[in-house]
Amino acid sequence: MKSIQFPAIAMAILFIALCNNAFPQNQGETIFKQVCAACHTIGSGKLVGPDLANVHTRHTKEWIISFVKSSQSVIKSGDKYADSLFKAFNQVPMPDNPTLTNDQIEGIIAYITEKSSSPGTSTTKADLPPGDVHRGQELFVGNIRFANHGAACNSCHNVDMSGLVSGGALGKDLTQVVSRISVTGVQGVVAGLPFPQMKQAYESKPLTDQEIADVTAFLKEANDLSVSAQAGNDIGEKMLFGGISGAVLLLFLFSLFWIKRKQRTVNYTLFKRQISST
Amino acid sequence: MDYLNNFFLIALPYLALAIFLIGTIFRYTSRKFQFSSLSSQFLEGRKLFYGSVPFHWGVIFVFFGHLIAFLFPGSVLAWNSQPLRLMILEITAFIFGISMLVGLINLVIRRYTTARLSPVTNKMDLIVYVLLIIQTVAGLWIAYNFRWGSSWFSTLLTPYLYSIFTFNPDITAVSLLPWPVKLHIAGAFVILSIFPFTRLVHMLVLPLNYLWRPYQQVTWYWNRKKVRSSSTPWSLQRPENT
Amino acid sequence: MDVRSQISMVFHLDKCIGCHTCSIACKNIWTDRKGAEYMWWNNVETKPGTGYPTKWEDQEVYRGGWKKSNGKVNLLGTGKRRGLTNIFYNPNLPVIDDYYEPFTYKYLDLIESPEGDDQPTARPVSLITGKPIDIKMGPNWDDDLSGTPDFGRNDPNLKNLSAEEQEVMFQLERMAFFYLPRICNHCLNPACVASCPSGAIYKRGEDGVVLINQEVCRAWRMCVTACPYKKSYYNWYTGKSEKCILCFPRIEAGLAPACMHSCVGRIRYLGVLLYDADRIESAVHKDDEDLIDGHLDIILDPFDEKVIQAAKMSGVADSTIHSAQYSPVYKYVKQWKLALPLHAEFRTLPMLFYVPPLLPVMATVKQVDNTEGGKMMNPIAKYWDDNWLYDTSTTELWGTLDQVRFPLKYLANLLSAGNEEMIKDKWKKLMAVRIHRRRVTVGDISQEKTDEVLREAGLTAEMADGIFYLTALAKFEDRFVIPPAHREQAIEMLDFTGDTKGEVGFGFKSKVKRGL
Repeated sequence: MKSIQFPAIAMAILFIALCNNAFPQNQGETIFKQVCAACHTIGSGKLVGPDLANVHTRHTKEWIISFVKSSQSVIKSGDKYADSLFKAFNQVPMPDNPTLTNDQIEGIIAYITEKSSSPGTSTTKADLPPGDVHRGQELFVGNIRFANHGAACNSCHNVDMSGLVSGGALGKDLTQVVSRISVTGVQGVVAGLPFPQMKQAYESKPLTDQEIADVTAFLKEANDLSVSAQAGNDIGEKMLFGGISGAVLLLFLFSLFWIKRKQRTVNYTLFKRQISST
Repeated sequence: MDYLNNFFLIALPYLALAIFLIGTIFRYTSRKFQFSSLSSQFLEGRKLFYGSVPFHWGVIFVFFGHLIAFLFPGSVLAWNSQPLRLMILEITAFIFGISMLVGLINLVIRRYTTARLSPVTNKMDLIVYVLLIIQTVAGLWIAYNFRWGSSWFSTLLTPYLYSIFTFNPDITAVSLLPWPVKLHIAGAFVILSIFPFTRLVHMLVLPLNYLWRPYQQVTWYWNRKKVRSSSTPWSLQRPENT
Repeated sequence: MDVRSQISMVFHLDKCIGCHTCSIACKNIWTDRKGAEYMWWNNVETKPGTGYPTKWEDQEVYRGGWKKSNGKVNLLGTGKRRGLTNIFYNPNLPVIDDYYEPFTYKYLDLIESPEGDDQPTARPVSLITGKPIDIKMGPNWDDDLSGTPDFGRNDPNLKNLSAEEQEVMFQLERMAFFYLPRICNHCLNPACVASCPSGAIYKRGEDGVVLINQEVCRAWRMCVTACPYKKSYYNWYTGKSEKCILCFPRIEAGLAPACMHSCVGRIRYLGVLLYDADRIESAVHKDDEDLIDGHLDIILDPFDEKVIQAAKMSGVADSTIHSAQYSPVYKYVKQWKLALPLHAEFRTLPMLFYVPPLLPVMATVKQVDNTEGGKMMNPIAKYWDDNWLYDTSTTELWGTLDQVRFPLKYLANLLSAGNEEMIKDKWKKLMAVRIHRRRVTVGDISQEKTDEVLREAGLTAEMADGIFYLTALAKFEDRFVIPPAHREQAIEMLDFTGDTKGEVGFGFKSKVKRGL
């Protein structure tokens, strides 16, 4: 069959292209800022993930490399420390970085080592304007669109709050996100986009500083409220119910629209009288 | 895991697209007679109504929903910017998805319980049914469990599909999506790849041309005026209908 | 004036004996294939009767043909909007049970069965599933059953007959029936062509044959619904529609179509008609009463110099014009005005014409007193040996016309879109010819009476002789005036269609394989 050749070639080209999709060698600082800084600081406290200051003294280079490449496989391999780390940080899995080479990760470690000796420089945006809770809520559900036309947060994320439409269920529930990763963590995630899905969605349509501040303020509010009142606002059942009853209605409408269709053969009465041998 | 992701999200799409393009073009050009919806309404016309109608209208709505989210992601996001409109879109899509599933189940039951349909049923029909059911169930599952797909399709899957079609595949975001989503993506490409070998090709010859053609068609084997004129050289008129 | 030629036919219904030879000839050539077993491109129906498929004329059920409303003529059950919304499920499609489930018998069982106590039987098996079936219906299931409640009384043509009229019609003594052979009408305004979403159906410009391109047909099955004559059949196996092709490969070779050639009663006439394609639209839009006149109006006089000039301008071959001048169809339809299209009210402008049967008119059976009343009867009348009189009296000139065994309305519904006068007019002509010939051969009718009859029927003695000749004596060349196909100008015609014989017999060069 002829058609096998073309896909084979296409696949080969693609795999090569994929492998070339990499960072320049040994630019630890650049890579750290692009990849790690959204969740990690060096000496400025924890964000989404732990403070990485002096991480080279806590773990071996090999352990760090394998953890960076795929944290979940390290955890699954039964590494107690990795597991406790995962639990300590609210079970937010660190995204895999399969495209980073060993050299690049070593470059990052070198950068961290260098920075650990002079701690205190935060890589996240610390100087955000004060946030407006109400505006944050509108931004979150989409009533006000982001200036750069990014998707509203509730496309993927849910926040339980009375009077609020349920958000998406693809991403994490953000009701208590502030408790989990702190305000700075949230800001870091939204600004730095460490998760590939977030990056995909907002890289070309970033949120403005004001928007980040507003959304964060709203999330903090939601977090505070949720401690007192747990509003069970599950839209799933409504959707299932609405879907099924809608489908029934649709079937009914179809039958109504084609009510005059020819339902049976014109010979029906004739056939009905006939004697069957079986 | 990476290899699986690479296979299902990069290799499979290209494989599927290649098979789809080469296969359908080959079939259309050399086996044109086989392009048919192969309707079986003539043999069984009663139960078909409850299968074909909900299935096809469901599939049309759902398909064009996906297509619009792929072609105009911005407009979908703009529509979804109000929660009420988002809900309307999601629930309507869900309704048509269920309609599609109901129709599909009715079609399967009809096909395998009606004796008269057995001579016009082949193995590929079974494969099509299985794949479509998996695909529909996965789609409904995603709509239910991973809400607001219309929004995140536009932000996550549209860039992925663009990257596929621009020959610069980027699966970093997609590969982290839950497995039903990945199943749905892979399923779509599997269906695409079996297209040329099944009755699904009838989708490609949807007779939209009918909308603007005149009702009556008269075909001449030759140009009647030229062919009767003595000034026309013998090297003649080629027949017009081939 | 856009003059085109159309191969057209006339069926002389008085001559049809209902032998079905035409159907068999057609089946053996074209439809003895899997998926086509149930198709009868040519079939012969008994009228009154429900026909094939059952009640095909009832457009309340099948929604075929065109309908005029508010001055606009639209397809009744199909068309652009309806066709595309109904594409997933055609709500008016006839199903296999409206025709019949094709079957055969396991004849081998008769010879191969093991010895036993019972006589071996050949069980009927379905040609679709291959499994034994109870035969519920078959081809011509209503043959000659015009008196039965299931067939005769369900005839859709009875729909605007009053209950009394129907009662009279089905009295045992007055019962009558005739046969109606039908093939595709190769209409000028074909509903099947208009309804085909794929554009697979087309009318050939050269000879007017309507064909389905099997490579383009996608089984949207709208043509089956749209054709009010139900002459487009869906091949359930190949997933394509098929229809009568007017044996165009035979016509191109100068042979009569199989159904015509095999006709035992010699009821069929084939010839060319010239028509004005520019006037089709206005003819279609005529009111019901003027529909047939409008239809016959667009058929042009091939002797008219202007028409000949226009025909040449439009590229009609001289040989075709010549054939048109000798066309028996032209004589029946235009010169003598004896033939009518079937169900003109469907507005497809069918190009097959029927000479209405005189049979139900010719005689009535009355109970008479032979001794007393007989003396007063015209000597032409015939006596039976009991008290029943088979009366073919012509004492009163058109007396029997008013005492027909069929309500006139029935035939009018069938052949003249409800216009009873039109049928009466044809009957008068047919009777006038008989009276004229009786004067010539038997001589017991006076010249004056004959002249009066002819004048009233609008005929001359020459015309009556012409009708008599073409009806009773015509030879093959008189009945079939087939225009040369000019195959030297058509490349396709050089393909030898015999190559495919025994494979699929339908114009393919290789054996067709059903799609997946």
